This record gives sequence, structure tokens and C-alpha cells, in this order.
Amino acid sequence: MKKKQFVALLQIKDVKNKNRLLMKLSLSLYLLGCLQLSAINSFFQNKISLDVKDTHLEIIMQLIESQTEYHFIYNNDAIKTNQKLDITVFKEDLDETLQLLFKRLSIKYTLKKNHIILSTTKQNNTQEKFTLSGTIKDAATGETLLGANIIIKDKSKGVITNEYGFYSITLLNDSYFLQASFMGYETKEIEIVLDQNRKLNIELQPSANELDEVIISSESKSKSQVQSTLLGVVKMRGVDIKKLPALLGEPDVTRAILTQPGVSSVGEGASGFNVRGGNIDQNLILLDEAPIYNSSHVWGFFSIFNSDAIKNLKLYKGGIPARFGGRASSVLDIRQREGSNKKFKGEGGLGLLFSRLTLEGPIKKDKISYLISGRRSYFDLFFPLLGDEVKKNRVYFYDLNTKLTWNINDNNKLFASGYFGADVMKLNFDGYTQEDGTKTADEKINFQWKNATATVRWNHLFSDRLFMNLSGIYSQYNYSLSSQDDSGGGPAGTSGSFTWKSSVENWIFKPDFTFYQSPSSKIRFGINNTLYKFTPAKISSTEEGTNTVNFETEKGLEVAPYIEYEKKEKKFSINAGLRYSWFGNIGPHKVTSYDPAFSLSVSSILGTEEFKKGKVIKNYSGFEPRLSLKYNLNDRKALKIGYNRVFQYVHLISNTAAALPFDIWKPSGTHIKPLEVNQFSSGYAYDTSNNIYNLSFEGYYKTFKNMLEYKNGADLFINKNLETQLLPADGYSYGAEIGLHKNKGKLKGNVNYTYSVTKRKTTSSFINENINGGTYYPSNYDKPHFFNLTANYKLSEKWSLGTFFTYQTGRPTTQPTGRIVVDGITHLTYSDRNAYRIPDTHRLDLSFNYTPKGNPNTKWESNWSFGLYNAYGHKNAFSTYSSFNNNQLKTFQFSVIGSPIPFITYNFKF
Amino acid sequence: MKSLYKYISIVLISLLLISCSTEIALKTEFVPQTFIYGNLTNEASYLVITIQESVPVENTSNLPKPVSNASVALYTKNSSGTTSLVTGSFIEDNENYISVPLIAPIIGNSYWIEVTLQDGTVFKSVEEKLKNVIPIDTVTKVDGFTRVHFNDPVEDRNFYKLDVASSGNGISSWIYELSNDILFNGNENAFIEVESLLGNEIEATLLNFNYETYQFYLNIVAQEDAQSDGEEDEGGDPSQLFASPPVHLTGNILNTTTNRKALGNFGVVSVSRRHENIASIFPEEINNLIYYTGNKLSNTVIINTQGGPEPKLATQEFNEILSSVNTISLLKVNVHQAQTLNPQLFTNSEITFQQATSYDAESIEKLYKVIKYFKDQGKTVYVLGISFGAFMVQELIAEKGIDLADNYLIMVGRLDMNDTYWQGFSLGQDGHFENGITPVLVDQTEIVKKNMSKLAAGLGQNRYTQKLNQYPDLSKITYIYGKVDEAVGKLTQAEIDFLTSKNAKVIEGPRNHSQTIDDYIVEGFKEAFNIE
Repeated sequence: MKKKQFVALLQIKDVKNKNRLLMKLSLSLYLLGCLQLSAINSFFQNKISLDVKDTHLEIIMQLIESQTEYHFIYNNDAIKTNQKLDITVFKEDLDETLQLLFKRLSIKYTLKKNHIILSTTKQNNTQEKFTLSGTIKDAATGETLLGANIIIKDKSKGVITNEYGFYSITLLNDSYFLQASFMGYETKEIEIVLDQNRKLNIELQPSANELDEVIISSESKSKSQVQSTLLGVVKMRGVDIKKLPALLGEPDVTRAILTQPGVSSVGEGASGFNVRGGNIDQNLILLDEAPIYNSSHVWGFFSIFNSDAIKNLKLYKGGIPARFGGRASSVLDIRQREGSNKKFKGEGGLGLLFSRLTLEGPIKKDKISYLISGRRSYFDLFFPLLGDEVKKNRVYFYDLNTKLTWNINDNNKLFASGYFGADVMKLNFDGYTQEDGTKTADEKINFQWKNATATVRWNHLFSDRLFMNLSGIYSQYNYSLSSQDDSGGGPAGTSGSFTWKSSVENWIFKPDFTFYQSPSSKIRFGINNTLYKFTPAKISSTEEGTNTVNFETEKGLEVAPYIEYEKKEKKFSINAGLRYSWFGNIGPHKVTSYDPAFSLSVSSILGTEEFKKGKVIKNYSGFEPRLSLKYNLNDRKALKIGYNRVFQYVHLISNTAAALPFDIWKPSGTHIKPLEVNQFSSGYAYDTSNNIYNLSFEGYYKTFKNMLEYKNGADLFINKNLETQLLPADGYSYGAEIGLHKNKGKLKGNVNYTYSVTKRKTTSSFINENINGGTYYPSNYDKPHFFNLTANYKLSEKWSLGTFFTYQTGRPTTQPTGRIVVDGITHLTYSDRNAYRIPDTHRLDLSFNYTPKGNPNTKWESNWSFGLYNAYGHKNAFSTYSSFNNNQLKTFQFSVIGSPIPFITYNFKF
Repeated sequence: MKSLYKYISIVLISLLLISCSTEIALKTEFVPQTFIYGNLTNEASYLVITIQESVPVENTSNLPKPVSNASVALYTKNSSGTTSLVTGSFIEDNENYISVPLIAPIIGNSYWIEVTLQDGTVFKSVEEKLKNVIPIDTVTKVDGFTRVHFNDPVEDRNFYKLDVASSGNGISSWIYELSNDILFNGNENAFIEVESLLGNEIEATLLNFNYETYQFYLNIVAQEDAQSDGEEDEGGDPSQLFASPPVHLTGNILNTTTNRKALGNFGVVSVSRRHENIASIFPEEINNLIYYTGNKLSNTVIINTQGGPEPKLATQEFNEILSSVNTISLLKVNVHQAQTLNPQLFTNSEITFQQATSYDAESIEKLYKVIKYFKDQGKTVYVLGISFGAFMVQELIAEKGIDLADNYLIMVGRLDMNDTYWQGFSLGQDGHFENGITPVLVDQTEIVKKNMSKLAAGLGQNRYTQKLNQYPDLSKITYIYGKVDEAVGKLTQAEIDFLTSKNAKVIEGPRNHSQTIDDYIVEGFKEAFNIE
């Protein structure tokens, strides 16, 4: 303790600057040291008794010092100690005494260690305020760092950089020591004299290796939930995702998120993820701010995000700030890297499934940089070797991430980024010879689904304190299925081609402003404008007797202004926001009207009402309040409480266990109300001293209004009157999540346990069509007990071991209860929806990473990763199903992965 | 080395298909439920209503458990809204309740049943209207599927069930398919198809459902689909990933005592039936020479000899060309040419021009044989030739007589091909006409293309203004050409004058080769064959 202060004094003496304020500071620090020495022998007690009248403040302060081990620290210019006061207390707490004493004087006090630091709460006219702002970057690549800390030493003030690496802090005219830190980087200390508004761009050196990180990043609290005001926010970096053992060795964003508490999925291989009882369509998945509609390759097995191109991601599952909206349960904010603006670099990998390559570098040094990152699966390249039957087929998927960053000047930056990814299946089936000797036609099937996004963003500083980001975004998801017969001739046979296309498109225009009001507070405001275009189905066929079907496109406009206020104090922090969202369906469109006396059905159609182009057909709007409060019990303990309301105006229509790539999206409208979700949450965060362990405990209660459920036997395939197959539903979910992170040492990782309940009931006013008679039943992904363990163990300089273990309650299922006979054929009767559960599931994954010492003379670095997915080969049930054959009922358990899957990946960097 | 890669890729693929299914024990509680089922059709019959109670799944008997002492009543409402009891007298026979009177329902009226159990529980079906009967036009066999064609009414949403029973060679089997009319609403040539069964004697039944009953049958299909997956499987069944929740067999029956849906359905259904033999009725020697679609019993046959020349018999292009003309009730035939029957003779080595000429003669004989077969059956035969097919038809008429077929439609051909052009082709060159007049020749290297050029020259060398001059009247011919045809050139004035002098109809299109085909096929069929 004393040694540290001594070092600080020495450092200050070295400083050449002879600024008066600095001298004063050094003096008071010196004084502090002396006082501390003298305090060693003083009588330790914290109860104070005073009874003085018309006494100088200075004297009262001396009296307090004499009765406690505390000492006052203050600036003589700011605090007038010659004013006279009365005070009477008897065996009172120090805190109470100080409150009584200073509350009339506009003097603020802070207790730190055994110091009482005094400051004025009034605006001090003699001292002007100036703003320090700039960007924090990686010194090696020029990549901006998001969420890096800038701490004003000894002021216990700090800010973090925003999504674009920008920070701004306004302080009194003075000289300061800044500490800039970020996990995985060496902390940098900078002295600055703030006698005018200043720009300070800081570059941090990546730490040379993990061991250094342990020492240097002791201030960084990346897994700590104590700092963040918001509840339930998970942060991950691209490198964190790569450390997890992965299916076929392919680092995967969705699977990484599934290691977190409160996040579940229906089962292995199911697309998307469920956050705190929300459906998969309730996650706002943003890639460089562009919403993504289908986040999976290979029918749900792999996420579409290339971890090489990802800088970091943030999952908001509890406190969703007002700047986000449109999806009701969570926000997954993924940011792409910008590419090095210093030197050309590359990295890549060869795996069992994908090969990856990323190239980045400056176009103009320090000014313009690019990043291009692609992946392609390549097992189909081996198809020709598998014989004629397989040879003609093509099954592959690929994605491409690109980004261009232009640092125009300190006040302007331009980013352009794009994503394109597709799954392609081209299958050729040879015709076969029928019993009568004729041959059927060859058939070609071409099935593809694609995501494409394009984002252009402009960062502009209006002043040092007003930051603007203007985004123009286009996002599209589409799929197409075409088949073509090509008869080889023969007496009978026909031919025809058939294509089916469907898409959803978004155009977004979004100005966002941040005003840095004070070092501890900022205001964000802006407006999100989204134009949606849904093309449900376009079907054409050349075959005689078949029509061309072209379901009308649906257009929707969502406009959502918001304002968000964020303040962080020593004890209290608040993030309060209000969002107002308006959604309207825009013509031209024909709306079917139904007889209100009957449930929506083809037989209750009365007619259609036609709306002209540009006309608002139906609109919904509402206020969405967001509030998060945090109270710090001390530096390492915090209590949090929060409330959110979110409206959602687009819905994924899917009635299958795992969502299909050709499920369609549908906007709210005349027959479908917007989903409303309210969430109450509270939490407790605790960091052990020196931050080795971070513990968090959170609880939530969520209500869902106007979810979509499906009628018994719903027919959703190319259905023009989709609303006739839907039922409105309300639901609730609640749960408790406990997470423990270990951040340092050879063994790092986290364990978490979640208890949760997720239920819903259909609320049709025609009660006989309600599922389970209108009573609550568990959602498909309701898994009450959920345990995850992730660990990384550094075996040696070259070797490390990664493990992941999960245990989950089996998901609900519907089982047969009896039999009936229809036209001589046995059929089953079933229990209520989701009345039973499939067996519990558990799985262990292991990975070994080997990083050989590279040749120091070349830039080439490489590592090998290999391991086992589902290491002990447990057959985890995805579902159970029963069938009645040969007069006997048999029940089966279906496992997507029923054995251990080994993997090996080679990664390189240059 | 190759086998190593093969091994690797098999491993990779199997990694993705590592799923499996294993049998497990089912723990479930039995809940008895009542199931009520019956259909009323427009065909007069005794109405049968089945009432049964579900049995535990462990019960291996395939016999339904009857519910006795229930009372059943059938009600109707006519178009003016008057409700009346049709009958309340049913005879109990195990699980079946059979109406005492014969029921002859009226199209346009609504019907429903009420069932009261011994314990007083009342079930009622939702009123359903007896819809119009949709007659089956024809049954065809197409590419492994049996198609049932009908005229779908445009004003109504229709929901169909097609039952196809087939018998022959001592085997009989049946299959059904459900379909709404989204893909063919209002289409005169609408069809539903099922996989072809063994046997050529087809008994097709088309049921026109109300929506609720259709939904009930969809539920039955959903259950049957789920049942068919029920074998223990090493590879598992990845479709389980995308399984919908199990479907209750509910339809339009309501338990009015609890106001919940009950199992079962009472359908009011209009039915049409058609019996047809779909065996190929042509002798094998003809069967081997043709591709056909449509109604093979039709008295009118459209016979096409295809363009190109191509080494493959066109089927899709053939259908596409015909799709703009309403020919659903007719038989349409595309006849093989020498190079489509034996493509390997043309793909491997280069043929001589002399050989090409004799292959063309072979093709003419095949075309003649097919036309003669149908004429001998007493049918009306229309012959269509487009592009190279045009030359084929001209040669056919020149060699076999103008009275062979009833009418001829010749599109985008030439009577007297430009000499340099066909001579170039006879050497295996390719070419085109600039502005439809000036010939341009280009070399080509691919053997098969060279051979096809030679086949084209084999007919292009003939002067049809001379070869057809033998006939005083060519009024059976309709001739369509393009003014800027790049493939064969436009007709010269001499050619046009020849045709008009012989009373042939000549139509000029303003555009190129393929555009002329697209633009004038409809008009050509009208002019030549009087088919709209």
C-alpha cells in the first residue's frame, strides 16, 4: 500500500510539467502520505460524537479526523474551510455525520480506503470543463477496440469506447493520468493536461502471450457483471469463440452462445437459439447492424457467421437498451473486424468441413483498410470419386464477409460492409425403369437459400461530445426450389419445370446520436426506420394444367424513435430509455375478411378488401420503456434490477421441431397482432478480490402476449390464407441463472446453471380450437434444468485443452395414449400437447490445441486443433416418436448425433 | 490414391449422417376417447356412422371397440334455410350405425349429424354443404404417375381427395392424394396425380370436400406419414428434425357437452368416378418410335417431327410448344428420327454426306409408318414440322403423297435452300442468314454438331418447288415463315408464289426464327388444324 503511493509520488516528481494544479495535486498526495503515516497510531473507531456551535469547518474536520482513522483530502481552492457551522451528533456513524455536515454546503464527499475526499457539487466558475475524445485502436492492426476502458486514475471515473471504438469524457481543466485497457492488450497509462478540448487516439499493444495478460489485464473485468448497468449481457470475442471445442472443429457463433446461461435450443441440429423462453424469431441478430433472417447453414447445423471475420459479439438477453427493438427476447449484436490499416495480413484454416481464408490490409496506410473473409465447404469436391450416382450432385455452402473502412479524418469515418452466404443443393436423379418397361424422366432439383446484407455507415463527430452514426442497410433472405424433368424418351413420359421462390427484404435507414453529457453520463437518441418487403411465394410451372401462383408481396414500415440516458456513478448507475415504435402495413394489398361469428377458416371468408398503393392498411404502435438500475454495494458487489418492454412486428411461421430454411416470415397486420414481451429482471454480481472469479446471479420473469401458435394439423405449405392456420397465444417464462467465471491462471472457464420454466396457452375466442383446451402447456424448448461447463486448461506453452460439458432436461413431447381404427387402419390418439418429456441429454466435448513455436524469421504462425465432439458417444434424444406397425406399437428415440465425432483443423496466420 | 480420397469423403459424409434411432419403452397414461366418423355422398346409399372408443396402445387387436346404445340423427338445411330431420333411425351393428332409410342427398343442401351417448354426452358435426360434382375428364399415365384431369371451378375454393384403385394381372391396390386448388384454381386442365400402381385398370374417384373435412383427411395423412417412419434404423431419420407436433384426428365433430373438439369427422362429399384402362394401346413397333402425351383414345392425333436436328428426342420442348394451345383432349405424338433412336451413331465418329442423306430417308420412313398407323385406325392426323421438321414434312409429302395426313403445319422452313448454305452444311459447317437474306458460314469442330449439319443438308439439298410440283393442290398446307429468319432465311418471292399458286396458306411473321415459332404457333394451329 505505502510502497505503491511512494512509486506514485516518484512518478509525479519525474514529470516535467510545472502546472500549478499538478503541483497542488502532488502536494496533496504527499500530504496524504504523511497523514497516513501519522494515522498509524491513532485510535481506531468510527463512531463520532460532536457538539460544536459556530465553528470553522476546518476545526470540525480535525475533530472528525481525531475520532476516526479517516483523513480528509481536498483542494483548498474549491473547498472553503473557513465557513462557520453548528453540528451535534452522538456516537453517530461516520457516513451519517458527514451527510449531516456537508449536505448544506454543496460539498460532495467520497470515502475511499481511509480517506474522505471532498469536492464541490456546484459548478465551479473558476474552472472550465474540457472534453477529451478519440478512438482506441489495436497498435498492430489499427482495428478499433469496442468496449475498451478509459479510466481517470484517482478520480474513479471512467468511460468505455462505443461500438466504433470512440470515447468522450468531459473533465475540469486539470491534468490527469489516463489508463487505457482492454482484455488481451497491454494497459497503457498516459498523462494529459486538459486545458482545452483534446483529441487523443490511443493505440494498445496486444499482449505478447496469455501469461502476460494475466498480470497486465488485472484491471480489465471482461467477464465481470459488476461494471455493466444492464442485466444479462454476454460479451464474447472472436478469439473466445475459437477456443471452444466445436462440431467438426468449426468455430460456431450459435454454439458459443448456447454455452451461456438462459440460452437453449430445441436440440442438436436445430436452427437458431431460444433466449429466456423466447422463440427463435424473437432474437434480433445483427451483423454490422444488418438484421439476419436465417442464421444457419446445413439445415441448422452450423451458423453462418465466420468467426475469423468477427471482432466481437454482445448478447443482450435481459436489459435491452432502447436503441434496439423489433425483436422481443434478445439482441445478438455481431461486429465484423475492419481489417488492418498497417500491414497486409492473412489467416485461414483447413477443417473437415470448411476451408477458410481471410485477407486484410491497408489500401492506404492508416487511412483505408479492407477485410475479405470467405469460407466454403468442400466435401462435394470429392463426389466425382464416389461413383456415378453421387457424381452429378453438388451440395455445398459458402459465405463471404467483406468490409472497407475509411478513416477520412478525426471527425469522419466511413464503413462499408457486406455479407453473402448461400447453401446450394443441386441434385440429379436418373430416371428409373418402371414395371411396364418404360423409363421415367431424369429429374434435376436445385434448392438454394441465401442471406445477403450490405451496410454503409458514416461516423461523424459534430463536436467532441456529440457523436453520430448514420447507417443505411439492406438485408435479404431468399430461397428457391426448382425442379426439372427431362424425359429420355419412351412411349409415355412428360416433362415440366417447376420453380418456387420466396424472400424477405429490409431497407433500413438509421441515424443514431450519442451525446457525452459528462464523464459519467451520456444520452443516446435516434430513429430507426425499416421498410420490409415479404414475398411469400412465387411459383411457376411450364406444365399444362398447372397455374402460375404469385402470392401478393406484403410491405411494412416500422418507425421507431428512441432516447436513452445512461449514468454511471460510484454507487448508483442507471440506463433508462424510451422507445416508441410504429408499424404499418402498406398497400397495395388485398386483405381477406372473415365472418366474425366463426373462427378464421376458408369456409368463413366473406370477401377481400383491396387497398391501393401506399395506403396504410393496418397500423400498430406503442411505447417501449426500458430501465436498468444498478447499485454497487462496493467495488466488487452490485445489485441490479431492470424492466423492458419490446414489441415485435414480424413473425416466423414455423410449426416444426427445428425451423426449416423455407419457413416464411409474416408481418403483423389485420389478422396478426404484434407480439408484446415484458421482462422484469434482477441480479447480483460479485467479483472476488483481484478479479479471479466473477459470479453472477440473475432472475427474470417474462410475459408474452400475442405469440403465434398453430392449429391442430396446421397446413402452412403455400397457404394463401395463412392466418386460418394460426392461433394467438399468451405465455410466460421465469428462471434463475447462476454463472461463475474464472479468468486467470492455467485453468480458465465458466460454469453456469439455469432453472427456467416456459409456458404458453392459446387464446382463441373460439374455444374449441384452442390447444389443450386453452390451458397452459410447456413450450417445445422448455428445459427446466440446464447445466453448462466450459474450461480451458493450459497444459504447457504449446498445448492447451478445451472442454465443454452440458446437461439438460429433456424437452417436452406429445405421446400416444390410445388407438382407434379408421377404415380398417389403426390410428393413434395422443396426449395433450407437450404433456411428457424426452430423456435428459448430456454431452462432453474435448479439444486439444497445439501451437508450435513459429520460426521467428517469418510471419507464419500456425496451430493444430483436434478433438472429439460428444466424447463418450452418448445418444442424446432429439425427439421420440411412436408408430403402429404389424399390430404393435413401437416407440423410438431419434438422436441426431449418436457417436463421438472426431475432428482436426489446421489454422494459420501470416 | 483415388481410393484414399474416396475413403475420406465417405467418412466426411457419414459424419454428417451420424444420426440414429433406437427403440425405447413408452410410458404413457391411457385416456379413453370417443371417435365418430362417417361420410355422406351425393350417391344415394345407406349412411354409416362409426362410433368407437379408443383402446390402450398396448392392445394389439386390430378391431375397433364399439360404443353401444348411442342415438344418431341426420339433419339437413335447404337453400332457403329450413332445417329438418332426415332420419333418426339407425341400426346398430358393432361399431357401425346404419341408417334405416336410403339417403339421397340434394346438391346445395347442408347436412350434419347429432350423436347422443348413453351417458348423455352430445356430439354434433359442423354443417357442411353438399357441393357440385366435379366430373373427371380423363385419366393418363405420365412418367411414373397416374394423372386424373378435371376442370377446376374458378369461383370456389376446392379441396379434393383423389382415390385411385388399380387392378390387372391379378393384382389390385389403391392409393390416394389430397390437394387443394392453389396450384390450379380455375384451370380447365387441372390434374391431381398419384404414383402409378401395378395394373392398367384404373378406377379413379374424385371427392370434392368441404374445408373442415379436407383438414380431417390432412390430419389422417399426417399421422400415416409419421407412422411410415416407424422402423428402427441404423441411419436414423433426419426428417424427425423437422417433424411437426403429432396430430389429433379431429375434424368437424364437437363435444357440445364440454365445448371441445372431439375425435372424428362427418363429411358431406360430392363424388365423381371414372373407369379407364391406361395400358399403352399401340403396338410395340409404333410404341418404340414415339413419345406421346394426352388422351391416347382421342380421335384427333397431332404428329410432330422435331426440329434441330438433335440427337435426342424432344419431350420438354415438345410439351412447351404445345402448352400454348389447348390440346388436352387430343393425342400428341413426337416421332423419333434416325439420330434420336441411335444417337451413338452420330456422337462418336463423323458420317459422310451420303450417309446423312440415307439417314434422313430412314427418318422419313419412320414418320410415314407412324402416320399411316394412326390413319389406318381411322383417326384425323395433323402433321406439324418446325425448322428441320419443316424439311422433314416437305420430304414426306414429296415422297408419300399429300393425302397421307389430313392437314400440315410447316413453320420456319425453306422450299429451296440457298445453295452455298446447304453445301457448307454438307461439309459439316454451321451458319446463319444476316437480315434473313445473306448467308454466312462458320466452321465447327464438334463431331456431333458436324453430323447434325450434314443431316440438315441431306434435306436442304432438295428443290421442293420442283418436288412438290407434282401435286396440283397444296391447300392442306399452312406455311409460316419469319421475315428476318436467321436460321433458314426468309422465303423468296419465288417460293411464296409457288405455294400460293398451289392454294397453300402462307403467313409472314416480322421477326426471327424462334420468335416466329412463339408468335405464330397459336395462329398456325387455328389456321392449319382449326384448334384454338
